Amino acid sequence: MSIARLLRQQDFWAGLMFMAFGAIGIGGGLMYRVGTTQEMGPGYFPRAIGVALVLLGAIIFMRGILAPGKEVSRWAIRPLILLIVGILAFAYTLEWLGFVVAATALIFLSGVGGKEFDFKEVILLCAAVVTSAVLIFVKALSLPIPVWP
Amino acid sequence: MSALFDAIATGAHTALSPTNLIYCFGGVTLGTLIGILPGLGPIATISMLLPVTFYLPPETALITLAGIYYGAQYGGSTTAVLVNMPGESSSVVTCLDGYAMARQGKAGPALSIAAIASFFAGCVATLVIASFAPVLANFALEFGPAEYFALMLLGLVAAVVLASGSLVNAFAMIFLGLLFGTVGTDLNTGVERFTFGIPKLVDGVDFVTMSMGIFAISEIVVNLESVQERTILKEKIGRLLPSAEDFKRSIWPIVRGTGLGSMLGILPGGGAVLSSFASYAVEKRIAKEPGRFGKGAIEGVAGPEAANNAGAQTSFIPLLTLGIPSNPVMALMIGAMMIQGITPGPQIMTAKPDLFWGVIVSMWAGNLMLVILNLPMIGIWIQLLKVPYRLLYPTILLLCVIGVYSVNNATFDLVILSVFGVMGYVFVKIGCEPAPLLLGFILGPLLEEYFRRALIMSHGDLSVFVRNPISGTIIAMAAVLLLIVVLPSIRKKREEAFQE
Repeated sequence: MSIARLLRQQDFWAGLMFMAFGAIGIGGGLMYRVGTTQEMGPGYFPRAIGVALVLLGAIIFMRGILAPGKEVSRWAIRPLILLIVGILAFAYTLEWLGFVVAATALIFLSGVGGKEFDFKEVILLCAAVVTSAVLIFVKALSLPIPVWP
Repeated sequence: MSALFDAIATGAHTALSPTNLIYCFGGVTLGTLIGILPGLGPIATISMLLPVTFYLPPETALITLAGIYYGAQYGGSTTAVLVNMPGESSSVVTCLDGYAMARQGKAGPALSIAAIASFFAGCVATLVIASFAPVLANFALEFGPAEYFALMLLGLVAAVVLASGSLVNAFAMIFLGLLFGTVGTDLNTGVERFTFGIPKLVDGVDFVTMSMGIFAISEIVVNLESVQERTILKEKIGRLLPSAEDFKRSIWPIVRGTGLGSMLGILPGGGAVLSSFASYAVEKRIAKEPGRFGKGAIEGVAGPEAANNAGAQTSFIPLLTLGIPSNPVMALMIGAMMIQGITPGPQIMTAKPDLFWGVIVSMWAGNLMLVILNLPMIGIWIQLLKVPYRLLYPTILLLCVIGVYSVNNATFDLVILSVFGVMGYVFVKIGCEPAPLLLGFILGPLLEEYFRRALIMSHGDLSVFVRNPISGTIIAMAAVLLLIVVLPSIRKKREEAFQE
């Protein structure tokens, strides 16, 4: 099997991921006291989980190499990045510039992430959603969220 | 018998109080709504609403969440009939004959039969819960840590076996969930595990943030991968009332579906999805003219719809009596209970009878509301189907963000939300269904606790889990279940069943 094809295998990546997490669990066994079966330390359970994850990960990894199966489909990088940037922008601006600015940023950034972006429509959506969110969450439920800067 | 009536009276007192009725109504309406709206499932919705329920009394919170769950089953079947798109995975089979009926101008009777079947199943399942749960809870009161450990093991194994997709991946996801569950202060020793110096992680990974990231955020990204076109039904809905002939054909499928659903719902890992598939298979097999199925046979709507509703409800039995979730939605319910300071388990029934029976009676009330309110509102639901996703997802995203922020009023939680959002999307892309992770995460800390306690009591002797008769039996059941799926012949059948 060519390397390019191998790198498209779902199992190849899933196996790697589980083994990496398993390594973290086993690392926990090294960092924290493992103890005995009767008197378990904080590292006992993480280490056991880690070992299981490494084993299962290895099985999945080998399956990816020996029996090629489903391939990873195209990543929706643009929506993913814009959604995450939107959330982080909201987090960054909320306590500083207030809810209206933060929510507008979130809706705009996530809107751009979609395939059909219509500037006018997003403005209308923004106005409607932000107004009702302020009314419901800040006025009615009185959550402690700053509305304006 | 009179004890049962007393109990139901206690429940009615709680469930029929004006506040709880309003929240129950809100829950079922919201559930129907999300069942109908594209790209928004019950797991994502319940995680979004968990922060709101923190402010409610426990019974009101559970009544609302339960309403969302079975409301969503109901809404899911509406879209199955009207646009040939299952709103929830439990109504996949309803598409087959429901949509065919709609094409023939019989959408009205299909929806009515679905509603009637759901209501009947809901009533019976409520009775099943009311008579079965106390017995199980009393039995479980005797359980020690070894038995609980075994039960949770069985629950996890069964949930994996009955899920679709690769078994090994599902197991790995459970272990990953267990690993996430160990983050934070270890209760027995006070040692901080995997906190990496981040003070926010001392109390562990927040379960609302995690499930919202993994389910809601990644769901949006997956939906944005491709533009989905929904073709709205052009044919007339037709009159609502089914004909006498329709009724005659539906009665027995409804009864059989209810029976199947009630039984399968109790099984760990069972619930609505499995029940509806089983019921469709049964109806098709015993039908005099199996050829009619897929071409608008009303039995193919009545049976599965009764079964998925019965299954959705009886899956509350393991939750309320043993504190074991049989599916991810129930895992979220456990999370909701724990946030309210209630330890799920058999003691709930005796310690909090108004909560226990209140939730049960509210299910019956909620089902009645669904029938009375939803049939006349079909026109409105059809309008809602036309809401384009590009307007919906920014709104969902904003609700998620507000929800996560409101839990601790900390913007750092939103960073964690982003991390889990990306992680959830990666899981989907590399073929790892995330639901088992949630089960592992919720059960993880309990599993560890019971494992430790059992071994302290047995002085480190691991054979205690097998020597104890009850836990031994339960572990044997788990092993058999596992063996069955691993055996090649049955494995092939299982794959075929999921293909259908």
